[in-house]
Amino acid sequence: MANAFQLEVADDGIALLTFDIPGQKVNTLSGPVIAELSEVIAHLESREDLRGLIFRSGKPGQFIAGADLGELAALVHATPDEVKRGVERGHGLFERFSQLPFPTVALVNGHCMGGGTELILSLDQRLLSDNSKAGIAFPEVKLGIIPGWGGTQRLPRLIGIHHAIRMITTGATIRGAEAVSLGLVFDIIPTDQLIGEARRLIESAHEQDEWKANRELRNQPLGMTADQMAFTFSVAEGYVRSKTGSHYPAPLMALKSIREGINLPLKQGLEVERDVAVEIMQSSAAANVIGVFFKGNAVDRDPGIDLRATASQDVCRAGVLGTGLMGAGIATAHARRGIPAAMVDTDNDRIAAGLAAAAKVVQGRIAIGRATQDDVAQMMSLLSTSTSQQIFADCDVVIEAVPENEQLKTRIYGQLAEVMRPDAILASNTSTISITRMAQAAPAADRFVGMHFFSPVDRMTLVEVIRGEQTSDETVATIVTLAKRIGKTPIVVKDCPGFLVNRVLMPYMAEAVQMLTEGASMDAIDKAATRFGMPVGPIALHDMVGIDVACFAGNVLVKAYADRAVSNNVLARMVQLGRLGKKTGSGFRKYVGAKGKPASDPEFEPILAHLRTDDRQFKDEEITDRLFLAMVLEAVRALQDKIILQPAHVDMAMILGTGFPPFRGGLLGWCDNEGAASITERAARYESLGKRFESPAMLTQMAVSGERFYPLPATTAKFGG
Amino acid sequence: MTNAVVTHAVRTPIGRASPDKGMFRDTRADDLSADLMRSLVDTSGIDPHLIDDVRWGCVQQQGEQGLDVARNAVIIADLPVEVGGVTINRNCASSLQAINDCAVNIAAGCEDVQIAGGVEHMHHVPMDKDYDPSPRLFVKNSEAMMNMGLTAEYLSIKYDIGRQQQDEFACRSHERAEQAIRSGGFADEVISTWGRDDAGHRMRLTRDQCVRADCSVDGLSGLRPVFNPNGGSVTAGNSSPLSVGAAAVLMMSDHRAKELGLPPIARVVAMAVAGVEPCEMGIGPVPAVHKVLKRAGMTLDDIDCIEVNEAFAVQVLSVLKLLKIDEQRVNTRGGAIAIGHPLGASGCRISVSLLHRMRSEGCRYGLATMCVGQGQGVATIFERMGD
Repeated sequence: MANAFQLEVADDGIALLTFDIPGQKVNTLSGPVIAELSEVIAHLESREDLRGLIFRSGKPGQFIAGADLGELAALVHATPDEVKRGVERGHGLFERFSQLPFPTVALVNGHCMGGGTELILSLDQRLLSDNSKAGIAFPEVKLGIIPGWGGTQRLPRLIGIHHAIRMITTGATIRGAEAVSLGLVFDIIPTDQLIGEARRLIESAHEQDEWKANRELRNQPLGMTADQMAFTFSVAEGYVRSKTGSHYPAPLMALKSIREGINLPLKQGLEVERDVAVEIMQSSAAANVIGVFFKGNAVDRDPGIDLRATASQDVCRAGVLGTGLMGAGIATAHARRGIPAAMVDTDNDRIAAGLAAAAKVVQGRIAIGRATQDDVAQMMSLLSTSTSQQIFADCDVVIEAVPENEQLKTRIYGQLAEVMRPDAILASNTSTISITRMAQAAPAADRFVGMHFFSPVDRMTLVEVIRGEQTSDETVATIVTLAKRIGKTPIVVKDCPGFLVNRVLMPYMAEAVQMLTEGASMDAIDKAATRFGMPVGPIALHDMVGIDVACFAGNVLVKAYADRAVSNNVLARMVQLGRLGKKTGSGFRKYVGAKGKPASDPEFEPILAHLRTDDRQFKDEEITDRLFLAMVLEAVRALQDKIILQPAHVDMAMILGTGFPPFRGGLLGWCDNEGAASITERAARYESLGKRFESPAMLTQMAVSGERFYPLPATTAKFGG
Repeated sequence: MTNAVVTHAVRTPIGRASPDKGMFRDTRADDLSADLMRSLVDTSGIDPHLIDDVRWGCVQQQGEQGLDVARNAVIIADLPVEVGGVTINRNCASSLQAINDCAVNIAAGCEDVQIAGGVEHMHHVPMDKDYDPSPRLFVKNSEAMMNMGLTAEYLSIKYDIGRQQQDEFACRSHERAEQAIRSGGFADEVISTWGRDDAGHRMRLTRDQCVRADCSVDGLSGLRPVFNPNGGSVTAGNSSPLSVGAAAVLMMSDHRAKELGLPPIARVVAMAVAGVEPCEMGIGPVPAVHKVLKRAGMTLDDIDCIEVNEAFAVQVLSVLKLLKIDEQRVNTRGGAIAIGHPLGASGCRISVSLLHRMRSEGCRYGLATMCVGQGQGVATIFERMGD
């Protein structure tokens, strides 16, 4: 027994049921909790003296976080019968809840998600606390599944089809006045008055039978006409497809459940929902997306250093050297999270541009209603600027974000040594240059570290924390903690050329250009990548990051991994010709019109013709294989070299840093899904192209042993039992 | 000519348009309209498929009152899709116009079974929101003609109605309304409607929020003139308050009512509209009443019950003075000064109150009339039917 529920009955016959799992930060609906709740309901059903029920959470600011995610993760590996039993268990429980012979009210005092939302929908009324955490959501589609304990049926019967579809297919959280206006909750009430208001509601319910009529109504079909159905669902499906493409089936499956169940009596609607839930639980996308969710949690708990066991320094003030795109973004990220940041550049024009870029980030958030003018003022007040490095004298951390030029950087480090506090940390935002080597020029090698942000800084959450040979644990812990404080996801990577993300991404980028020289069309290459799920194709990505930047980074890696890195002169020639990508109006493609839309450029063809080694036909399969095998093999080598410690680090870094598709389960998750044997076998087909397609020992061993990067759960769901 | 009859007449309680005290501060105008339409249909017991159209008065047709709020409310109320909805604007007389338009349709053999009514949420959609007239409107008129309070001040000078008289009339309005509430005079017309009580609880409410039980001429005389602080006489106390509410009637031809077995409570005898100078818009009922009486072939002596919308005390007193009407026949259950003046709903609201008053007072003919901003008057004469 979980001892999660406490029942008190007052003299007026109104029962107060408090949900509070001992020792847990949040309430979740795990198997044992559901078993206990079922007994509580049986007790409530058996009592004849009750006149009402108030259901609340005992955790301040937390109502119910939903189903137990561990059990959910197991469920995606369960048999259809096990899933069916798990779904029916929830349906049965909430149906009994909805039929208690007296008025029932839920007090939503905080986050109410998924199964929690389904629970409150089975009660007669809901009151929302006025605290800022109180919000109601169905986040299931974000995990690749659908609300399966009645959500797709009860929500539209309560608040109507349109807003139910919106909540369920987007996972949006409904708060405050909107919850009342949608009819999702009866009212917003100060937390300390929730119980009083619930009592009043129960008493007034006893004066008339409206609550009984409402119950009956919500057991009925919604009663949409054929036209209402056809129109509503074709619009909704079109919208969902435009937002999520075809790779994420969950929102469409949720729509299917609503569509097929909404015009049936609730009981039959729930059967429809059950069947759709079973179907989606069997899909690989659901398993992959849930898997990625857990990988995110794992990285959050263990970013590559044990923060509990390692001392770190407090950072009260940060300095940023260089106010270009990256520098301004980094300073803004600090100021937005309340950390004062000093910005330094060589002249006032650059500084002004940096400040303008900073303001623009928050202005952009105002435009979408996520920030106010006060936030801009608050953020700007935390930014100080100077053309003198003296301003860094009181900084705990200085982040260097000057152009990628080792000489320039190391010269500046010499200057910084004179102004920085002896205990301050110097971090470089370099994306390619060796941290271990530059440490020699830094004020102190143990307090020198890489802190590699991705562009645009305000939207990309990944930060690679690069540990040089002499970087101390305390330095790493301080930077990891700082990155978390400014809302980023830090991942610790051992210093090596390209670090993790570029090391793994560049072989894919290079392979794309290589296939171009062999005769593949750039559209076919880009399409193969986007069909796989990448946000943009590798050729388009070259033009976006800049051919000069890609060429420079590529050369670093070619030199460092000379045994296997593919090399050709395409990028170098393009740099010579000034075709630097979108920023100069032409690269692989040309960029036309006010918005710079990409178009094929006839002038590029003769340039490529000189550098072509072949002009053969490519099958899509070869393009896809070569792109992603090049990527995954390098990732396994990085893992084998212990550049990073866990497969989850690789997968989250590639998802957050390059947009690698979560529905594939991450890069190594994809390798698991394909099977190490299949990957090595396919790689072997291309071994004649170079050592880059030689499978590393770790993978060939896995191919033999059948091991996976992510072991399957030892036992499947207890959840249904 | 086919007679148009009213079979059911209802309204919501009228709330104050106040962001912190208003009973409907978080109730939307379209929802308020829809719930009232639904209540009218449910209480009448009519098959909603028989309703041809809904004519709904509303002055500020934007925001939650925008894009044909009549039709939107029909859909929200889950009335059959075949039921139409048109929103009508003749400023303060919008929903009296809606009633008249229903009668005209019935007479002309067009739409038969109809709901007439109106709504205004003067807190959510303020009466001057985005108001932007052409400068050419003011070639011969002062822009002050758009300021209803200043037109009321003008009446007090032109027709010599003093402050004391206005305050007494305003106080009478509150006393009569309070008395009507206490004696159950509104019990048959007010539909219990979801709103917030004084303690802030969401519940069904019936009491008109602006009616004061403790109103006194002494108290009113202490208020400062709002529109002309130096020498004016029109105060917040002797004007109608900004309000929120809705009213609705079910109308059809007399033969249709008979066919459906719905006993009519009244028939529309005659209707009229007339224009006056915008700067004395409050006097609009005078020519409108003359016109409607002529059309009905009646004199004021034939009319037993009169409802004159109380935009301002001075405005009602001017109208009564010019028409030589004895106050005793007028607004015996109070008027807009006490009950409130939700612009688009008021014409129907006074008609609803008139019809219920006629029944309880046992009178035969009743007159509803009101002034209209920018200088118009509308009047409608009803004849009581049934018991």
